[in-house]
Amino acid sequence: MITSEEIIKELETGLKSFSLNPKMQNVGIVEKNNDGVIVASGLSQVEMGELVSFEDGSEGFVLNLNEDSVSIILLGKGENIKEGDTVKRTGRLLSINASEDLLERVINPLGEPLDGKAKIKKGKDMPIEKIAPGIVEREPVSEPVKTGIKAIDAMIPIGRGQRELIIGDRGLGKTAIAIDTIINQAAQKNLKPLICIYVAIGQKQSRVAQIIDKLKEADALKFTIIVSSSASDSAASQYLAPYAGVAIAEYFLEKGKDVLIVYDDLTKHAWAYRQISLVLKRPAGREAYPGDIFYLHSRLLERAVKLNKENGGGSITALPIIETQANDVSAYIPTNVISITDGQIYLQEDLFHAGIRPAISVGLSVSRVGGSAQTSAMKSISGIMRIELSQYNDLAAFAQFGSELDPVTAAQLERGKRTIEILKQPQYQPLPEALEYLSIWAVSNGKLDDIPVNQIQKFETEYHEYMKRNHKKIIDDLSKGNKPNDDLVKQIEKATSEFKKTFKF
Amino acid sequence: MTKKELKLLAHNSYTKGFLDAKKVKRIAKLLRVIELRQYIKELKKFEQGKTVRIVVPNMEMVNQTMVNKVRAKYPNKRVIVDEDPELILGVKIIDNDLIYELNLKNSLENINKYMIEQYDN
Repeated sequence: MITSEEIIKELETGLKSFSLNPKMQNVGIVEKNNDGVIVASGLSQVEMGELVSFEDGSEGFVLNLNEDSVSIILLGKGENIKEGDTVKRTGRLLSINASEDLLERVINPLGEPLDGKAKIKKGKDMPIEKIAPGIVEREPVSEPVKTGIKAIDAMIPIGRGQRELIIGDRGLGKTAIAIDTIINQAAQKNLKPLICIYVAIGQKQSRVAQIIDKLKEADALKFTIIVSSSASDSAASQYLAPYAGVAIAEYFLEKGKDVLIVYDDLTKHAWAYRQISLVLKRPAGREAYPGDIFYLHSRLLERAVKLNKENGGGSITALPIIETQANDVSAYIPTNVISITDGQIYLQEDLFHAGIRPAISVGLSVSRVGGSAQTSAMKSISGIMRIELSQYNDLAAFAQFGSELDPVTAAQLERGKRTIEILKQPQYQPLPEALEYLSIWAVSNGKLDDIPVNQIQKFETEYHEYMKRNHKKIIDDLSKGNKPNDDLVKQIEKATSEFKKTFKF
Repeated sequence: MTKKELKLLAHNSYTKGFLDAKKVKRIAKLLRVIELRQYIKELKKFEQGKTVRIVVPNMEMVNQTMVNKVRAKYPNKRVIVDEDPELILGVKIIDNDLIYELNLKNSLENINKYMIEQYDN
């Protein structure tokens, strides 16, 4: 309850900061209103990206400064704006109100609630456009973001502050990987909590609603913010969405927190920017994208950062998503984003249809900096598995031509099949690191060699249950992330042998 | 004729800083309707750029000293005095796209806006 003294004090402080000094205004006149783009004359002192306000109260931001006119992108509908109307400078750059109040909320890129709940309380205005932190403020990626997906945590590890692209055709489970990662944060206890921001760009509203439901179901919405600009929203809104998301992330970063931000997806973001650029009559380049399309994404993804201790030690991890057409990663936008990010998780259609889900192509996926963030436990077993898997891929191609194989090759092939089988994982079921370790340990150490391939998943489920039920200490020890000592390995071996005796197939 | 050429034409319609009626008439005769429209638009813009408007709530408030002061500040511009009772008190000076607000109406509007921004959320 606020006391009357507090209310008066707040009013007084407010009035102190208010100035009655004469004010100079810079105004312009609306000349044209075409497709949500206003061309105005005057406004000789306006800055690029500055917010301007119209007579009817609607706002826009400046995206083009011409010789004697400026082009303004409308943030609202602006149906009442007509030729001859006055437009005023506001002196403010585009910003979003950020606070802890945003957690568990769904907002649009302007910070207005979309979930029908109460108005969001005034927090701090964070600039939508900001220069990314420089080299001095950064430190190398060292802590992991645990996705709960075996294939990723083992072979393509993601670190806090990294930018890892998720790329693939439509319907292959790109969003599922991002959502699984968010869901998995609910189960993390040993690491610093991760605040998650999911930015939906140009998506169907029903799809966003489904994702929200999923997060709610998994109890992951409480640490998640959803910034949504759906397919029916204006191109300007879609263009702003990822910047709004990262501005919110920077609010938490300033407080030394770790943030995970998912941009779903940047292909549609590029489309929105192309649309704006064409309406603004900017020269069109390859695939009709404007010349600064690379900068559009590089300046966004550069804001993903791991700050050093002197600057709070927070981090922003970015998971941009790119949708390819017919597996073509050499298209304009995919190659741009691949070159900006610190690695990519590549999803392939043939793997997906072969029942390998998540359909991650291990050969084409890479994490350039995540290795240093991987826990020593995972590092100790993932190397072996990766080698076995690449050997299997090579041998499998040759084995197609010959019927007779020597025993060593046959054994490698059998091991490879089991490794692929163990890496399969259902959607929305991320695993804790200890269980991931046990699965990979079992397959890499030949404990599954005598289990039929079609029984591997059943084996894994029951094995996890058995270990959780009967060997809690092993699970707890593995959860610490340290490389297991000989004693622990012996215990795991003993427990696995015991379980195998009971497993029926 | 392009927009740029018409702009240049409007610029050249001035002699010694003043709009030359003879030149304007000669140019207007040669232009098509659509071009004439753009030419007028450009002339208006030039005129706006060359004019400073002093807006006061009551004409009785205006004295020559005040106008002279403004004229001295803008030696190359024409100074016009207008009346707008809505200002309540004070003055408003319009220099092309720059507006200097030194009046009560603007102050009250600012207070209102500030209060809404601060306390309505």
